[in-house]
Amino acid sequence: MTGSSKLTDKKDIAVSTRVRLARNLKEYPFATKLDAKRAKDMISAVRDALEKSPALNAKLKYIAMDGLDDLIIQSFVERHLISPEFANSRSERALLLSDDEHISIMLNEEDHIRLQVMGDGFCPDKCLKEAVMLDMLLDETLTIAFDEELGYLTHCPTNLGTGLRASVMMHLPMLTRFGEISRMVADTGKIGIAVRGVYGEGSKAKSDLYQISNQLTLGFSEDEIIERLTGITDQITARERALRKAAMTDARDTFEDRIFRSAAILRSARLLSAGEAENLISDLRLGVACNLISGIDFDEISRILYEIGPAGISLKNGSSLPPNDRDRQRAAYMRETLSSRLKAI
Amino acid sequence: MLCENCKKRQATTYLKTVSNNEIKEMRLCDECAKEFGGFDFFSGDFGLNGILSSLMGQPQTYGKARPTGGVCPVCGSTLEDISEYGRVGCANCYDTFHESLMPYIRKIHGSAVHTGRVPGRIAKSPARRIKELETKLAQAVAAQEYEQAAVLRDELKALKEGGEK
Repeated sequence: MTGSSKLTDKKDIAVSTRVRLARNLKEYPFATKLDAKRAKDMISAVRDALEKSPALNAKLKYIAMDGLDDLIIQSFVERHLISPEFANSRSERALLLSDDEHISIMLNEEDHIRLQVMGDGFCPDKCLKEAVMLDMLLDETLTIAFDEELGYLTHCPTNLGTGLRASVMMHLPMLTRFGEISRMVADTGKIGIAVRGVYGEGSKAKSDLYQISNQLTLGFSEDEIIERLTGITDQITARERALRKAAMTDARDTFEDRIFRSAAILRSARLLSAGEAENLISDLRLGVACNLISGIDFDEISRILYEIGPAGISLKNGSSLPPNDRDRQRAAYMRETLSSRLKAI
Repeated sequence: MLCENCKKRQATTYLKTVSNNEIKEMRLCDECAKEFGGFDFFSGDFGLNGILSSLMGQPQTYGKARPTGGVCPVCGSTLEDISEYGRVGCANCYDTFHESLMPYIRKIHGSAVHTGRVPGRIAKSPARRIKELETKLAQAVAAQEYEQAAVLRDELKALKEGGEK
């Protein structure tokens, strides 16, 4: 990875980007008022639109949710293709999925249509462009609920207007260690922006991953929303990079020691829980970002993170596994994937 | 650290939001975090759903009484239903309960005027095109770009006359 591409897609910090548009068909009630028959009709209407559009048809395959195996559905959740809520209740629900899985459209989730485009690293512009293109294709044959004043009409008023939620998953190990996340967020300005992280033991965030996304959807154009999100992620990125650089200069031994220990465990352990593996992978990612470790790139690290969830590991095995067997399989998978490849620089 | 919502279980999730310059920070346990949305890309989609219910359920802050009255002719929802679920029943509810809902929508978004993209059928409508040209004409006049203004004026005139036929 060259320095310049690192700067534009921020892959040393930004793990992935997701853009989601919420849309509803004008002639059908929203989810809580939609009976089974009307829900089926709504899905058929979208399916017809798909068939009438060669561009959409070539990109997306139709998947009925109630025909799917539990493990496959769980792995869809682990890969962020569907929401956990969508996985819970499957009748009268369907998914439109691209072959490479970067586009997924949930039908009859909270809104009739939840269209999402995902990408590696920081790429909200690219994701938005593609989401808008898909939206325009659907809009050619479907009558989408819209109001001049309120914009796209959604089941929940928090999504009115653009119906756009843009999110960036960021890897912020140093900001976490120095407890600076709170201050960063306080500085982030006027537009509604949310930062979410998960705390593991004590006050350290699990995997050091945070999701930064816009909360407000009405009163701003799509481009303005992306612009503000970009501004905020730029600030966060600059600060995280500065802290990494400082650690490399001021406390190099401790910093390197931790990263290489984590890499060693990943290459040698016999049992790894999902939580432990995620934390070790966080150190590995930091090692790659700081040019301490080579032999693996950021996209591969992201792919590994998506595949080591309980369902992902079970799927590799071909059937559901009890936790202890999963931990053994997960450790074996990590050894296979990493042992011959990671190199210290 | 104890969960700031239930004050019983250990906090595991951190949630911070900034909205209209208001910063809100919460440390939550797994159970309560689920209510505010778990941690994945979808959590951002559901985190605020409870907001409408809670706003509508606060009579002392937002009016004399909780909003009541009326039934949506399309889906049969009442304002009570909307207040309870935090969601409207259909697109038409936004029309039926316009007056009651607008204060809450403004409170949530800090604005209630859509400035983003529009569906193709609306973008192509003459009414929208006229509105767009009128805005551009006003801007051109303000900037003293009279040649540009003349072109816009002619286009507007043609469009308006076309509509009257």
